[in-house]
Formats: sequence, structure tokens, C-alpha cells
Amino acid sequence: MTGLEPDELRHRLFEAVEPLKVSPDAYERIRAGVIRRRRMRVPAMAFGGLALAGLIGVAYVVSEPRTSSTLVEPAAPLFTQTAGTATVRTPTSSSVQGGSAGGPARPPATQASSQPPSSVTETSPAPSPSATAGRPSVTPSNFNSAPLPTPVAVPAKKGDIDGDGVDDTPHLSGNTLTVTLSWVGPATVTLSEVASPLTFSITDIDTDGYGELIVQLGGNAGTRTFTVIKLTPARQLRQLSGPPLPLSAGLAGTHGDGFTCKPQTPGTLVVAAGDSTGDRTYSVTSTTWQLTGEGFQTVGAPTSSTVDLNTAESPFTAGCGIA
Amino acid sequence: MPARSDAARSEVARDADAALTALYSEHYRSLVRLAALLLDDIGLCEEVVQDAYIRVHAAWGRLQDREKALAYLRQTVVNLARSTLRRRLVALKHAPKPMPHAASAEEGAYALVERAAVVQALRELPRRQREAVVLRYYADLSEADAAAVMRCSVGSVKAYTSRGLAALGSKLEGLR
Repeated sequence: MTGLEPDELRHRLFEAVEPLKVSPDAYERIRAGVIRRRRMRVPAMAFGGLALAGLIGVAYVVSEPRTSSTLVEPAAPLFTQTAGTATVRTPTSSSVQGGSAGGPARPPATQASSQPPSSVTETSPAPSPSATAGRPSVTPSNFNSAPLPTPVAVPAKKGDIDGDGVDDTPHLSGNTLTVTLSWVGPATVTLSEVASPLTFSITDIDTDGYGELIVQLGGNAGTRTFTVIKLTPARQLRQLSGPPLPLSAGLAGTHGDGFTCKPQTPGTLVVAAGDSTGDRTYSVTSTTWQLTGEGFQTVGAPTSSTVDLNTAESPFTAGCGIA
Repeated sequence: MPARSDAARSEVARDADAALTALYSEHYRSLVRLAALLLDDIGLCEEVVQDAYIRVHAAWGRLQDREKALAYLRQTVVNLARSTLRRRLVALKHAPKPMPHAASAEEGAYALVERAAVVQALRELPRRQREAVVLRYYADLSEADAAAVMRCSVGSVKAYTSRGLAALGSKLEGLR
């Protein structure tokens, strides 16, 4: 520390700034500054608000996914199959049991006018590289998204499932049905029950150019049951469910069931159900079903008639090409 | 926060105007001199103090203790002086060198202050030491008040003051 004492420093500081004079208009300058600042407050706040709104807008534009680049997740499969029983999950997440082979009950013919469209049971395709050689490329990534080839004929030729005009033959292994489709490769569907030897028919029920596979599930005491399997646009075989499936054909006691595909009304399936009213005379109710999309819907009102099996053709048979 | 009524806003504005006038009458000159000791350019000291008055007036409604208006004003002067020094340092780095015979822009009283040995010695001190010395021995603040203005601890004020006094003594001795 040198000899500079606080009092001496204080004195020298005051002495140094003593000559300093203030501007005579200092007060007016301050007042003008106050007024200027007050005037700037509203525009500044407005500008701040606009800037904030702009930032929010920019943030929204930046964070909003563009439509063209939006990744659309594939929807969860509507249908799953568990332990031999086809569990159907409808778009409204309600579940129904369907497609039980040999089940005694089938919906009465008069029930279906208020039924929702039938649902379907889906099974996974089993692509085989060797089987698809020489056919349109079906890779795991595009297998479910590539559209089906355009059918060569509408309705499809009998025996043709994939619409190429060539017969497709199903093969049974256990309860798994494998169809080597000419255009789209092999596809499989596992059923809860299948009659052996395999009894089937391939008919274009809905006249979309792709044939539906009608397969016998089982049978007892003169009655056989059938299901319908459809090739979906996702190149998968799906077992349809819901009324009027499973289809029944045959006479059991005093009750008879049957179905047929009538060429005069293409795209429809007529289901007949009758009860005996006397010796080989039956009161028959016929319901016309139309396969639209992936389910059956009734067409018009059911009709009733009396059929004498002694003189008329029996309606209690399996039609649509089933032998 | 409840919306302040127009009447309440008018009351605050009138109060701020009255306080501004009183603070100007009593303390403007001393604050300009304080700024002159803190700044390197005496020509800027009035602008800094006027800006401080305007800011305190604008913040009058938010002042928690209006009895301490002078303390707020002094704090604002110190903060603005720091900002001005920082800006001048940046400007000086990029400014062209002045001509050797360029005439001083300041005359009269400013020139007298500039020529004072103690002012020249002060300007050679580090900023914190200069603030501590000026606040303690010109503004006559206690160590606690100086620490509040400088936003540091009392111990730091003691250290800055001690070092500043020693450095000033040496410099003033050298100028004699």
C-alpha cells in the first residue's frame, strides 16, 4: 500500500469531476425519452405478439408431417386365428366365433335380412420361391400390397381362383389347405376341420373375376357342411364367416338344407332351409345372399314355398359345382 | 395476475413522473459524475444517466420498494456503464487508428476532467476494481451496498477496493 489514503482519494475524485456541468436540456431529454418509450410500448408489444404468432406458425409447419411423406402404418390385421378356432375381429373390435365345422346350428333363412356383412377369417400365405418362379414378383415387402392381376374373364372360369384362366388345385395337409395359385404363388389357409378326402369347388360367386373356393368341412347323418374361402386383394386366402356360413346341404330327419349358385342371377348364392310337413313334402324358405366385398349380404326378402320331393328337384343339395 | 385498471395505471404514471422529477433534481448531477468516473468516454456519461432515468421511470410500477429508487437508479447507471464499456471495447477493436494530430472532440469541462490524474489512473484499473473504488469513495456506499450494486459478495468488494487503492496509489505516484 502506498500513501494514498481513502480520504485523499475521495477528495481527489470529487475534485476531478467538480468541473463537470450537466446539460441544461437534460430534463427535457429524459421527458422526451419517457414519452418515446411509452409510445413504443404498444407497437413493440404488437410486434412481439406477431413475432410469437409467426414462430408458432413456423414451428407448426416444421413439425407437421407432410402428406406426401407420411408413413402410413399398415392396419392391424382384422382377423386372427387361434388354436383351430377362427377368431374374427371386426372393425369395431367386436369378436365373434365363426366357421365351426359340423356345428349343428345354422342361421334360419329368415334371419339374415338384418345381419351385418359377413366377416372373414384370414390365414397367412406361404410363399415359395420355387413356386413363384416365372410369375409376377411377390416379395415379402410387397406381397400384401401388390394388387391382384387383372382377371382374364369375368366371371372367372370354374376352377380358377387367381383370375388367370388357369385351374388352381388345392391340396390338403392336415387341416391346412394349400393352393398353388398360377399368378400369385402358393397360399394357405388353416381350417378348424376339413373333410377328407378333400371335397371342393371353385366358383366365382361374386363375379369379380376371381373364383371362390367352397370346401366341405365335415358331415354327419346325411348333412354336409361347407365353407367359402376367398382370395383377397392382399393375395391371401381368407375363410369367410358369418351368416349364411357354414353352408349345410342334405336332409337330417325332418329338416333339410341346401344351397346353389344360380346362373340366371350371377353373384348370388341361394340358401334353402325346409322342414317336413308331410311325407316328403317340405316347407322351404329360400334366401338369396350376395357376396360383396368380403362378406355375404341378403338380397331381397326370403321366399317360402312347398316342395314335394316326389315330384320336384330337391333343394337340399350342395350346389355351386360341389359333387 | 389481475388486470390493472386504467385508474391504477394513471396513478402509477403520475407517481412515476413526480418521482422522476424529484430524483432528477436531487441526484442527476452526482449520477453524471459517477458515470464519468466509470466510463472511458465522459461524453457518454449524460446519455447513460438519462437512459437510466428513462428505464427506472418505465419500471416504476414494478419497483418493490420505492424508497430505494435512488439505489435502483444507481444500479442502472452502473449496469449501463458496463454495457457501454463492453460495446466500446468491441468498437475500438474494429475502429481505425485515429490520426496523430486529430483534435479532441471534447472541450471545456470535459477536457478538465479528462486531464485529471486520478481519472487517468482510474481508467487503467480493471473494471471491477474501478467500480469498487468509485462506489466506495465517490458514491460513499457501504461495502454491503457496493456489493449489492456490483452483484458480488462483500468480501469481493473488500478485495477489489484494496487492490484498487494500491494500484491507484502506485499509478498516481508514477504520474507525479
